[in-house]
Amino acid sequence: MSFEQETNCEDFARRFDGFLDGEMDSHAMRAMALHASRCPTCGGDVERAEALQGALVRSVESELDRLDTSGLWSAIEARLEPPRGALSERLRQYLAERRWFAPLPALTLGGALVALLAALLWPVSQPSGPALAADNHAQIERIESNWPHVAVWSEPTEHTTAIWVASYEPEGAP
Amino acid sequence: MRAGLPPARRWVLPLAAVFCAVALRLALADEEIALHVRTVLATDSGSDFDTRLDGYRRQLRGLFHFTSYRLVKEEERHCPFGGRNNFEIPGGRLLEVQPVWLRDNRVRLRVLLIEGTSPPPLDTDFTVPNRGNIWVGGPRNPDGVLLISIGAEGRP
Repeated sequence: MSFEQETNCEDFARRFDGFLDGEMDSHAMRAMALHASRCPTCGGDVERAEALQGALVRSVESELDRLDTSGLWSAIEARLEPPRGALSERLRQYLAERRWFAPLPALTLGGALVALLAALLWPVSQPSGPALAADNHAQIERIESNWPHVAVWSEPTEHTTAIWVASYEPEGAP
Repeated sequence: MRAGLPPARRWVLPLAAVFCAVALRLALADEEIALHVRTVLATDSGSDFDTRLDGYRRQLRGLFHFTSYRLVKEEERHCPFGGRNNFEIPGGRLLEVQPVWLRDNRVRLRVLLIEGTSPPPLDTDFTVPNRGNIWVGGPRNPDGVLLISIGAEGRP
């Protein structure tokens, strides 16, 4: 027994919304369409419903056509956050916004120059004062003098050496 | 508007200068030596001993027989090896000290004492321990005799 033979006006009315929306299988759709084509009452209902649906669609499309969307993207874009640039660009902008930061390179250069001068002029070692060598023995490798009195000797504790040159008879020297 | 270096690059030059200064300083430190020349006036009048010479008391008492010692001049100079350094000595004299090398913790010095236009009273080469000293005595002064301590201190 086929479906179209069983479709009557009561079944058609019950399944009418599904038929209009196309929410049924192909066999049921075919049976419903066949009944609508043979039954003037149900066929009229379908025509009225389709006319109403078409009017509704046209009305919506008409309203959509009247909408002006040309400024829509610009309005959205205006409210979007600007894209983030490269790190160097952001750092440059950060420094530019902070004016107190501007003299720092000059100050750094000045500090570097001061450090350079200090490094060059700072003594390598502090004055040692008295000799700290426990054995202060000197080794004379060559000695020449045009004065008649020349003497070399050492003291006994630290073995510190003295060279005496005099053009006169020594007094305080041994 | 003046076109300058980007802010990040402005730091490169000062940092490079500091780095070069430190490197140069470290390089020079190993090639420098400190020379100390102290001139003492020794006399046989009085028994004063200059307190600035306290560290040399034992050396002076052990080497010389004067009764009074007074520091009349003190000079320290940092110089590279091989350079000639002239120290003025009271009485119009000149002491030329040339550090030659530092080896085995000993410093070799060449010392020339010049007095006027006459031939030098002293021309000598010797080594002393690093941070040690030697005394040169004899030149007369109107008040007594000059004793000159020549010391050297290098970085081993």
